[in-house]
Amino acid sequence: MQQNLNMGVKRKLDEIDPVPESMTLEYQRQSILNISMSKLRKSPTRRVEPPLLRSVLILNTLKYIENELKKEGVQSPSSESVFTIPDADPQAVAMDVLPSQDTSLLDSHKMDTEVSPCPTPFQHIGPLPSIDTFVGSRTVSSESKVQLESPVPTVDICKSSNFDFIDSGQSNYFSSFRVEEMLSDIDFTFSDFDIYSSIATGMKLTPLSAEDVVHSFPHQNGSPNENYTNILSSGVSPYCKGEAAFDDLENIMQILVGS
Amino acid sequence: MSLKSTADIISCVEFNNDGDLLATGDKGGRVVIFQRDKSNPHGAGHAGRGEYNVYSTFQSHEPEFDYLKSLEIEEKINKIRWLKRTNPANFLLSTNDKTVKLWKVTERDKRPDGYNLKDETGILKDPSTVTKLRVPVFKPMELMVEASPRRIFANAHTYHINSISVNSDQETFLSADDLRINLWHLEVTDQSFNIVDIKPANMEELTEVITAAEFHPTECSLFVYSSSKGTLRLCDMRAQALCDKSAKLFEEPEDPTNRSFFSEIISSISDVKFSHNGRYMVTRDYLSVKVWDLNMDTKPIETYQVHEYLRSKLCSLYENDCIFDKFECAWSGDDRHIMTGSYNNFFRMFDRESKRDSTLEASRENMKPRTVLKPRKVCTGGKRKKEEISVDCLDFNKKILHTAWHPKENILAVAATNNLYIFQSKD
Repeated sequence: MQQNLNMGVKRKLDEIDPVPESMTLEYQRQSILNISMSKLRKSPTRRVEPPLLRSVLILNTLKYIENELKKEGVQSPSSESVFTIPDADPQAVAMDVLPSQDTSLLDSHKMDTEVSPCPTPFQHIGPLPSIDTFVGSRTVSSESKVQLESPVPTVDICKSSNFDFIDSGQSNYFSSFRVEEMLSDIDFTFSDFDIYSSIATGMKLTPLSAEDVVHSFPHQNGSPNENYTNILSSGVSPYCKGEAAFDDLENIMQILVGS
Repeated sequence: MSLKSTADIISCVEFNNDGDLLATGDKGGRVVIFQRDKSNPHGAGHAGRGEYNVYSTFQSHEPEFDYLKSLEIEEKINKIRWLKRTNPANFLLSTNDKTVKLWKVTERDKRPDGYNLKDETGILKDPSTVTKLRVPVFKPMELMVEASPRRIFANAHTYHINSISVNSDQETFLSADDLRINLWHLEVTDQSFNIVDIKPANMEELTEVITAAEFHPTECSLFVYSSSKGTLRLCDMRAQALCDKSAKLFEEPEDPTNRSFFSEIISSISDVKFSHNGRYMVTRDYLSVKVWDLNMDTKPIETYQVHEYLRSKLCSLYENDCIFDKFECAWSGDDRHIMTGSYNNFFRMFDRESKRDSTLEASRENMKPRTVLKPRKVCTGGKRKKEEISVDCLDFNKKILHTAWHPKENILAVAATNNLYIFQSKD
C-alpha cells in the first residue's frame, strides 16, 4: 500500500527552503550596491557640485564590496573558469562586480535586463576596472548624445562592459556608438580632470582654463606661466589617459574579434 | 519644512573669544550676530542672566555661478571664525564653499550735530543765512551696528571649503577644502600658500578627502587636519613648506569585530577641535566622539558613544543619506565637558571627569526661560519605559549638527534646523 508521502510529516520551513547566511549577506551586499549606484546617479536638486566626500565614501563602499566578491570568487571555485565570457544576456550591461543581479538597478535606464539564473563567479578580463567605470557606465544615459563628446568615461564604459560588447547591436547603450567615433572625439588636452566633478555636470566635460590648472597646483613664488610649465614637465602627462584608452581599445577589439 | 524656510537653516554657530558675541551663519548666506545683554549682570539673589539679543544682521555671501563648470556656488555659510578683539571693532571670517571674507563689525552710537553749512536734514543752507560759526559736536544716537567687508579671499579653492581657522598669531589663517589647505595672511588677498595637497595625480586613485582642519590654540606653527578615513594628521609648518608629510599621524586600529560595509563611512571624522589648553583634540565620527592626547598617536585616550543604538540601522541611514551628516563637537571652557549633537533634536554632553553623560533635547516645548531640561533617553529594545523614546520614533530630519560652547561659562548655543537655542547652566 502506497502511503501518501506527505501525510503525517511535519514540514519545517528550514528544511524546505533553507536560507543560508551567505545568501542574506549577498542580498544585503546587493542592496547596498543598488543603493550606492542610485546615489551616484542622482543629481542634486540645485545645480551645485555634489559633495566630494560623499562621492568618495560611496565609491569606497563599492570598492569594498567589489573586493569582497573578488575574494569570494577566488575562494569558491566553480565549474566555469574565471576567464570565460558568460553567454548571457547581451542586453544586460553587467556591472562586472556582481555575479547575480536580481533587480532593477538598470531598469531605470529603460533597459530590459534579465536576471542571471544563478550566481556566476566574479569574472573580468584584464586588469580590475578602476572605480570610475561604475560611475562612467551609470551616468551614461541613452538619451544624451553628449556622451559622444565625453572622452574618458566613454572609454571606461568599454572597459567595464567587455563581455557585453559581443553583440553591440542589441545593446541600447552602445548601438549608436562606434569605436572610431568614440576615439575621434577624445580630447586629451586636460590635466585636471576628475570624475567627481563630471558626475555633477552630468558627464559634460569642459576644458579647464589656464587659471584652473594653475590653481590646482601648489602655489609657488613664480609666475603662473612657470607653474603651468611645471605641470607639463612634472610627468603628469596630459596624454597618459590616452595610452590607457588605447589599451582598452585593444582589449575590446580582441573580444569583438573573438581571439 | 517648506521650501521658503530653507534659507533660514543655520549652518554654523560660533562664540567670539570672550563669549560676548555669538555669530550664526545660515544657508541663505546671512550672518546674524547676537550680543550678550550686559544690563542684567549676575546679581546676588536674583539669578539674572545675560540674554543674547540680535546685535547685527548682514548678508555675507550671495549665490554665484561658475560658468566654467556650469554649476552654482552656494551662498551657504560653512564656517565663521572670530578674530581676537584688539580695538572697538570686531572682526570675523565667514566662508562659503569657495570664498572667505573678512568682515568688520563696528558700532556707531554718536553722530555729529551742528554743522554750519547744512541744516538738520542735511540740505545745504543758504550761506547768507549763516551769521555765526560754531563747532559741530557729537551727540548720542541710537546704536547702529554696521558690518563691512574688509577683505575677500577668493579663487584659491577648486573644491569646497569645509574649514577655516585663525592662527594664534592673529595674522594668518588657514582655509581647507576637500583636497588642499591654504595659508593666508589677513592683509593679503591675492596670494595664498598651499600647505597641504592630497590630490592624487590621477583622480581615479582618490580614496580620501580632508574633512576638517584647525590651528593649535597656542603653537602658531601647528595645525591638524582630519580625513574621511578616520585619521588625524598633526603638521608643523616649520618642517617644510608643503606639509604633506605630517609630523604625527593619529589613527586608531580598526576593531575587526565591528567590521561592516559601512565601517569606513562611519569612521570618517566630521569635526576636530583642539582643547583650550592645547593638549588634547576631540574628534567626531558618526557614532562616537574621541579624545586624543597630542602625545599619543596610537589610539584615543577616551571614547564616548553618542548614539550607539544607530549601529544596527546603518543601512537605512545610508539609504536616506543621514550617514553622511557632519556633526560638530565642542569643548567646554575648562576642557572638562564635550558636547555634540544627534538626531531628534537631541544633543549629548560628556563629563570627562565623572564619566557621566547626558542627553538633552532642544525643542519648542522647553522654550520658557529658566525651564530646566529633562534628560532624555532612547530605548533600544525590549520594553520601553515611560519617558523613553524608541529608536524607530526618532526624527532623523531634526538633527543638531552645529553647536558651540561659551569659552568661559557654561552656556551652550545649539542650532536645530532654523532655530537657535541658548542654554545656560543653572549653577
